[in-house]
Amino acid sequence: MTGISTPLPFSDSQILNLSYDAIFLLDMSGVILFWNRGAKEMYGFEPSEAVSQVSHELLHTKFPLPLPRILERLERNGRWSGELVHTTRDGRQLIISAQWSLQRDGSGRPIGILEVNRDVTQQRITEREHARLAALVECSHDAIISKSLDGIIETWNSGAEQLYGYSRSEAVGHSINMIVPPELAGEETDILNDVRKGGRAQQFDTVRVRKDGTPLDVSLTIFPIRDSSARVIGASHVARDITERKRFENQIRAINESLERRVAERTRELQETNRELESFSYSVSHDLRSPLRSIDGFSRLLLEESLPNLDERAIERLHRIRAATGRMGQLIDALLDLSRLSRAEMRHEQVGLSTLATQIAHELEHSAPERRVTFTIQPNLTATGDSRLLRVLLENLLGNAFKFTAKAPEAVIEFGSRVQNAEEILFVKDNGVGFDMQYAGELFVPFQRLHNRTEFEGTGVGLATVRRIVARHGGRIWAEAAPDSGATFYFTLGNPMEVKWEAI
Amino acid sequence: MGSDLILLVEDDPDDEELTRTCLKAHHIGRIHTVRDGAEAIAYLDDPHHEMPRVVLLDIKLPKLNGLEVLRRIRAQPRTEFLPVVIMTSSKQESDRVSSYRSGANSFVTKPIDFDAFRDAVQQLGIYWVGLNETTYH
Repeated sequence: MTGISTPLPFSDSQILNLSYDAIFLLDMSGVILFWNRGAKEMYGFEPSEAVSQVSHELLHTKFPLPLPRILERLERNGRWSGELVHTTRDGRQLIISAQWSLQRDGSGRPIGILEVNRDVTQQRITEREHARLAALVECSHDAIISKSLDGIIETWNSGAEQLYGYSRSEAVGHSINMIVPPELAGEETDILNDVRKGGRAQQFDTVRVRKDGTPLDVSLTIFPIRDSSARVIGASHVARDITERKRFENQIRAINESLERRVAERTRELQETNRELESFSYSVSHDLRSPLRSIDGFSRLLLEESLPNLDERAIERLHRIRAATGRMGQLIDALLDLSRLSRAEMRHEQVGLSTLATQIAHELEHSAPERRVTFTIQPNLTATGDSRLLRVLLENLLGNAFKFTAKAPEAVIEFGSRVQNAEEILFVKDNGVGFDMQYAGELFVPFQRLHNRTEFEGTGVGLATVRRIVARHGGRIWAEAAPDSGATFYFTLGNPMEVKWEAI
Repeated sequence: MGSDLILLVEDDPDDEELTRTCLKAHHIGRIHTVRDGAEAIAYLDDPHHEMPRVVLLDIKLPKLNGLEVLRRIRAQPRTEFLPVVIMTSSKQESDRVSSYRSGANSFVTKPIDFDAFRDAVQQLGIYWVGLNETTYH
């Protein structure tokens, strides 16, 4: 034993047993002659189980080279070292860093091998893990940088090279401020102060600057880097190029702004049109009425003051002039009401339709006490909508039913509802003169009448008004009828909504 | 106090003629007609003119509209309590509101039907010239 100058109080095997490494001695055919405690602890075999066994059979050794070539080198150099895979007694595979030494006898003939094995499994796994991570970092398109708490760049991946334009050697060892634009000077200091104080991950959009001086929109994520004792020793900096995203965001913002501008413009136009319509209907109300008063007034005065000079025909014609004037007045009023209906602000309230219908029925009965009319009104019908408008709607429908049953000896008018396809359909039904369904399309057109004036009075605006009220409540209206067998008007009052005014 | 003068502010000669005819038939008051708002103010502002018992005022008038005339009448101490009846063809609710807000004593829509019109004018004449009493500063 060279190198030992003082006699030791241990035997050689006792010394070998002190080692954490697995140490065993083999003869030249691989048979185990000695098996230390380290080997027992590493592989799980007792010396009694191991000694006399062929080591590579016992441990299912996987060699990096064929065994004869290892032995060849061992013989040539006296030693060999390399990595092997051994299987333990309980079947675990260990990566082993092995060092073999050859023992020769006095004549130089090989007589044995000393194997010293160290378990490097954990170390290799960690190394592989690191390599994988390094590869991930390296192939990322994001710039991944680490920096010390003083802001000195420590690592710089190829993503960072691409993004910022500095090569690794130009960046590592320099201050992170090299990529901070002057107007944001101090931002990195703030970030690092926050990290130093134990701040958590931060993510924000900011601007950095490339080597060529062009600014760059980035989404930045900052993580604290800790050592094994959890002390913060630096910060990672992951930057993603968001130039494209910013561009889209700006485009979207621009589109939204122009949309808002256009909506505002349209609203102004609409308000302007509404104002014009308002003053138009004002003029209609005022200026169209005045001449009618003159026509009627002077006709009347003629009838009074010049009666002795008028023959019967003249008198009759003056009466016709006056009647026409009256009708014209009614038409103007109906027209104004219709346009007012379309423009009036909608209220949304709970409206008792049955109550309204009952009131209107009483009013109608009062207006013609000589008539016999039976009203059948389904109780407790309600709707959400504008009570004024819904009153006008029922006045028109019930009024029509009343009017067109004038010739029926036993008039029956019904107001009710039924549910069809989960939708409530309201109806007003009468047993009056009805109409021919082929003209149903004309029903709701303003000033369109299906009966002549001598038969039934009217302006022709009633159902147009009804249709508009139904539309403003988001509903539909239609009718079923046949000549002389009554008419039924069906309508829904869907979701009340602000329907824009329609031209008269 | 005993004046029976009616100041008729009316730009439509037909309406003026009809109004005159109705009042004359019942021998109600004397009528002085002016054709627009500016003339109405000029008449009332001149202290040499006879103070009317009532003003029948249309809203839609050339130059100065009826509501503006009304506001000026109310702003003058001399005419502050002068009875003013708005007589208009308009049926607009907004006109009623602004008329009363500006200090109208009464608001009447001129009917198209002449019988109704005559009725309205005669009753107005009887009431405002024959019955109503006002006060002056």
